[in-house]
Amino acid sequence: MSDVKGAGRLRQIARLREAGIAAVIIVLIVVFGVLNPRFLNPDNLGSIVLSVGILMILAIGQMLVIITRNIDLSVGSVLGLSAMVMGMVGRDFPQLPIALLIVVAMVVGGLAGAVNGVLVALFKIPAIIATLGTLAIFRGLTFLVSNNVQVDPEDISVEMKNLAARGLLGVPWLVIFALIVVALAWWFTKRTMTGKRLYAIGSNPDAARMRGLNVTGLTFGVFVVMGALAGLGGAMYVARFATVNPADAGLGFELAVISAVVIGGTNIFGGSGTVLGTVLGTILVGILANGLTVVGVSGFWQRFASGAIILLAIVADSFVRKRIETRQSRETVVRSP
Amino acid sequence: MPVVDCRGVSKWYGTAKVLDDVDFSVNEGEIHVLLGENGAGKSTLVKIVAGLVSPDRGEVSISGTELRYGSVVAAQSMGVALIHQEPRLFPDLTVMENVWIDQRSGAVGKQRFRLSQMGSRTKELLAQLGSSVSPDARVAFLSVADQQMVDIAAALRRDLKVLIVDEPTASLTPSEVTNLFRVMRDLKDQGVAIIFIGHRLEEILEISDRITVLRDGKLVTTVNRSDANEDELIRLMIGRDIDTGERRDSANVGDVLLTVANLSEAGRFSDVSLNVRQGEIVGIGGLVGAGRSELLETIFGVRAKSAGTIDVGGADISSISDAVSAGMGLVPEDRGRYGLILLTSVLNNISAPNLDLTSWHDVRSPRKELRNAESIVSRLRIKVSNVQQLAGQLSGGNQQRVSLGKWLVRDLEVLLVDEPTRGVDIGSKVEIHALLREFADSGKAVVMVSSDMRELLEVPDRILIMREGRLAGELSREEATEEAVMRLASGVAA
Amino acid sequence: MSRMVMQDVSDSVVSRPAPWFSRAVPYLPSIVILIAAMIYGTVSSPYFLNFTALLVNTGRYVEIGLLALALTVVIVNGDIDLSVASNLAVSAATMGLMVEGGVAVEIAALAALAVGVGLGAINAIFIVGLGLPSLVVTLATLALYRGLAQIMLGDNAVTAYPDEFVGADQVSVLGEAVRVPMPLVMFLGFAVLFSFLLTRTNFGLSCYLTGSNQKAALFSGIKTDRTRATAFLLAGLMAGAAAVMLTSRLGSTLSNVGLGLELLAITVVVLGGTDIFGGRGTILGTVIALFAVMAVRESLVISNVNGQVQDAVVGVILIVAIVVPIAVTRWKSRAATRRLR
Repeated sequence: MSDVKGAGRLRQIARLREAGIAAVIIVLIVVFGVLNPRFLNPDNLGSIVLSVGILMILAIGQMLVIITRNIDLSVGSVLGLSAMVMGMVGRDFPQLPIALLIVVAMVVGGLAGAVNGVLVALFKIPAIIATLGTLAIFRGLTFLVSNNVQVDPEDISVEMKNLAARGLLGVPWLVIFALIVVALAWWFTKRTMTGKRLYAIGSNPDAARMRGLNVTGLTFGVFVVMGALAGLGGAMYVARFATVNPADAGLGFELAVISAVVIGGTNIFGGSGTVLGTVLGTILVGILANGLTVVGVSGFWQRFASGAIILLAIVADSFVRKRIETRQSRETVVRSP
Repeated sequence: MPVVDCRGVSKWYGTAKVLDDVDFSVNEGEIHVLLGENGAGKSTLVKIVAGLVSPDRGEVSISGTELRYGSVVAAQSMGVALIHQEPRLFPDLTVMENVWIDQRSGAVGKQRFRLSQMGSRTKELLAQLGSSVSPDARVAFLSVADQQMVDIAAALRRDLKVLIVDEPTASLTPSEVTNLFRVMRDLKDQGVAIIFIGHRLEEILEISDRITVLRDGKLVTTVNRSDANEDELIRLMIGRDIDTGERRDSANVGDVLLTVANLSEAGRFSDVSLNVRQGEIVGIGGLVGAGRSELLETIFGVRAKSAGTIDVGGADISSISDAVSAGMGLVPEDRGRYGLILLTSVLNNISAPNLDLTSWHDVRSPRKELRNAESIVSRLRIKVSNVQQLAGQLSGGNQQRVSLGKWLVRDLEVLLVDEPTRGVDIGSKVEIHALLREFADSGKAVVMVSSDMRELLEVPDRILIMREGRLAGELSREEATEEAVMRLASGVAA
Repeated sequence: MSRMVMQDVSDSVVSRPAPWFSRAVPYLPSIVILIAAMIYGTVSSPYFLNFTALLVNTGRYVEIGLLALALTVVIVNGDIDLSVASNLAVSAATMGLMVEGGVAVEIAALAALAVGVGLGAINAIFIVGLGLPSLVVTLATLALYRGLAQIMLGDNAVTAYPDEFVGADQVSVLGEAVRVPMPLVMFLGFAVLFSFLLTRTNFGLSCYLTGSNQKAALFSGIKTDRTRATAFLLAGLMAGAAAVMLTSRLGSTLSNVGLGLELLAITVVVLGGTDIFGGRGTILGTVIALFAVMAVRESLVISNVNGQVQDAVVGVILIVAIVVPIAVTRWKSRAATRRLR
């Protein structure tokens, strides 16, 4: 009676979901392309790819955090802080290799993530509150370390800027970094026990503790990883924009990142979410932001559109889920004793 | 040498001593039952053995090795597993992932997730338990019984020495209970030491080798099954004699209070008609999943009906507010989740459904609320230090009294109760039954869903049996026997 | 958001009615911070303890305070509304465009309140009507409403307000001798009203019960949907009210008006002892916390600390205010068991 009961049904939802986003992406590309052919010219596509790349690095980290039933609202500030520190180090020590600078950015981000991790994992402060606090703290720190002076384009080395322009076979390093992050995350969530444990923690934290999983350690770890990825995002930000202003580097990024993750089908209450979904969600957010501008819709509509899309995503989600649930309940009743 | 050996174990929660110098042991290949009223300390004791809670005094050793305080990991590596009534699993993960999630690196290929190996091993483990659940199934979609088997499979995956099952049978159908007991006997034959916590004495006498009775945190006695009988066990548990199994006189039945006609909820139950008269207690029996709780909740307006009518004294019910203003109250099955708000005071819990009576134009009257709460507390003999105490701090029996009592403030016509004595100590059980009787005798009506066979046979005036979402039949008190109920519930012909 | 139920204490724990000092515990962090900030401010500048200046400065915190009052109710219900500041912007934009179009400022102000309630209703429809999580819905409407304000105003600033409307925060209630600014009086009035609402009405108890356990409250006959929806409407109303006050204080409207105020308002609510997961919280706590945050910010302003750093200090305070009680409770319970052994 219980053979293959429920097997793969959630996976089915996930598939449906991913196909849906892919379809929306294609429709958007066609619509934007028709409205303004300039949308499809290589320069513009390149610019989309670069902004999607930075967003994706952060979205992957955020997905891992949300899977564990947490959230990190401080990602934009962490990006700003690590970009600022890296920019300043690069300016004051121009002889340092850029690989080292990237490491500096990731270490700064990782430390910031560790602060979040301690607050959430050790002191058990709800993540939304803790990171709401650190969102302000890291932004303030950015001002303090920079003394409210921005890092100018001429202080950023050519090699650094080239990360967003040159790479392997015409693919910029920035994009390659993003792809590496995606590949690692895919392997981590699909193929490792530790990855599965993150889902377990988010799915049922009490059970995770009872089964002896190291909930504190894993939660701490996931925040550190998130921070380090925000640091990497900060480095890429410097490469792409060639300037760091303490007031607006990464400002409001958390919204775009969380939108991408939620649109990608990650359950905001933890336990489920896929790398593929997040990748598609990020691409959707990136295309929408760029396309609206190119099509000549005023920049003012962008925020409105991103809000509307998140709403649409969660409404669609809940309808699918409800339908599956009713079908499921019918089967329960029909089940013979 | 016993596998589990607790010596002089004591435990405080705050200022309350929940375990007092308990010596307890379980041998290899033995099923040892822990028996006691709610709050006697059974769950705390097994949590200590499982390493979830550390004792304040005393020692616990597993197979001769002392258990470090409060370490789940240590207890697990010594082969201890704890299975709860509601399995502690990960609904978003597959069966296989649930079984292997705490696999430490080393045994089956370090960090790597060897899918094929784990899949086939999971299948083997489940087969050993007589379960045919697919290793790739999502746990969210499994029945409670299947989930318990997954939980046990996860324990078997490790080298299982001690299996603790905490009230596992409450949400199982009879055939599922039979299968669980078969599995337990198999494991026992393989030398596993089993600790079983339960409330149903028939079950306990069937499965146990030895029985340990706890009362108020102290160990009363440990007896062999051959030396035990039901009345003696009850006396040991509550520390005094008690009347059980007394059948009451037939009721003086009056006018119809509740009429349900052709009621359906899509996918849950369909075409249910019944009426309940003044002075009557109507029981609803059936297997878990037959749609009984759903029926009760739909009558109360919590769930939306898809067809049919509900009528109480001429009023048509389609929402909770309709139900409450027509004089209905529901005591749901899961009191921790639905029946009570554990994190708020007893006072607020009692006030909640009665705000229309105590307030003036939506402005509350603390004085009236207090008076109502205190009268209910003394009338139902609810043990609280004062009505401001959090409901979650009360014992199971007292919580159930609050869950029931909050409706008795009102001038109720129809009381709907769902498993009114599940997880409740025997003393409270008897008092709750008396209360329901008294309520019906005052010219009101009671509808009671119960899976406790004895309760179902003894308390109601007549019994309706549901099967797969439909009414399968009705039994008068004279016709009602365990066999007749089971036959209707499972659809087996006479 | 889910919550662990205290299973371990279900085995009869004795409790006595709480003495006054333990009831005051949730307010302690904000009281301590308030006093500390006052001392710091006084030490660092002789002008700080100028009572008149202090009172006049409350004006700009009243807007945060109004949002925080309504958010207290929303959070007690177990929900959250991240969109309040964006709602404020749309309400302010509506008012600005109407005034620019020649509508009387009183009518425009009423329209702002109506728009606030309307946007609150949209939140309620998605959250209560469709059963979606408030955190995500209001994160979306945070962007949506802000975008709406940007669409309405673009880069323009509305400044066409009549002189008698501008500068309400400078109006003193008790005449020139003791300058008690009108916004402060209005805020305290609203605070009393909200406090009455939460502690003395059926709606208030419904909020606490819904926030503690929504399902159980529903099964007890509490109209949980209506309670939660009302809280979002109240949040919308207060966003509208804050929009009117803010416009009067600034005398102009930009699309980025009130940007980020939701964080400050939530900080105030949580600092005031309201449980972010619902079921517990008081208006008194929120009011004290508002003054604490105000004292901190003002003492930093007077020592010329940059705005973002002020925000950071408030962030630190928020976290310390949560961490310290947790650490103390842990230490106390450990000490208590040790004593019993």
